[in-house]
Amino acid sequence: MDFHLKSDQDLIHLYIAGEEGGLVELIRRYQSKIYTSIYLLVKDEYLAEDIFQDTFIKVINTLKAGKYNEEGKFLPWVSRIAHNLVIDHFRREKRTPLVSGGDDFDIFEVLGNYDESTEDRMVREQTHKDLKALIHLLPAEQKEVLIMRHFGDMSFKEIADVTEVSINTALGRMRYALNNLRKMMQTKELSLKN
Amino acid sequence: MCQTHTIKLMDETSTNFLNTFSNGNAMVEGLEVTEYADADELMFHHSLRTELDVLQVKPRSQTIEKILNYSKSLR
Repeated sequence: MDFHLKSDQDLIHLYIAGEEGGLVELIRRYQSKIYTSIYLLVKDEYLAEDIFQDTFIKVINTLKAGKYNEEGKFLPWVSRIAHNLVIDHFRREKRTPLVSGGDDFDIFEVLGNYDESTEDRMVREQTHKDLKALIHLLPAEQKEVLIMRHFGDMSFKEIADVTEVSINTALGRMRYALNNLRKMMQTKELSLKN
Repeated sequence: MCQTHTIKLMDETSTNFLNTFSNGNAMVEGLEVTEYADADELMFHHSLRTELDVLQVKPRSQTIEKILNYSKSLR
């Protein structure tokens, strides 16, 4: 069976019907986005692995219990679960989830090699390094919305629900995040490839 | 007023962020937003999305195995 050709809903139905391949494909399809969104929020590889695992255990339990809401999209639903688990973790730790600067995590160290010149590679690496640093300089709320929107494919209404703010506030935070990033990049004379 | 707000919510759930840029009325609640998005903003967001995609990393294969093993244990 060509699982990679199936829709998310088809894969969910197959999985519920006992076909493990449905879950395998769903994880393959979305593991990077979900894991990265957790990783960028907690900034700890091992913690991110644990939360990623807990997220899918909740997903499995919900699907097996027949409680999945067919009306929603799969990725935003899983992203919401992941985000709630991140929040739970920080509540337990009694500290804020997003801290600006001071971390030594470099997501680009684990990226694959590019087929490009040394000079191009150095420029690209520096750009990514700068961009990562700038993202972490964003106020916590803006960074959170940016991550949920981009990696979690969540609508602003979903983000508003999860973060317990109005939809206008979520929209505003996203716009401020983009504007702040843009201003910081202009200040640093950093440009993105189109 | 209430009806207008409802319409904004429905708009938002069916459009992407780029489209919402043009909806200035959706960003008023205590945000002091006075400017509307221009072409530069849209281009910047498009470029940023490409770069954000590069940030993606995968979890370890052992983590995936644990999840799949858990699933199989429920059979």
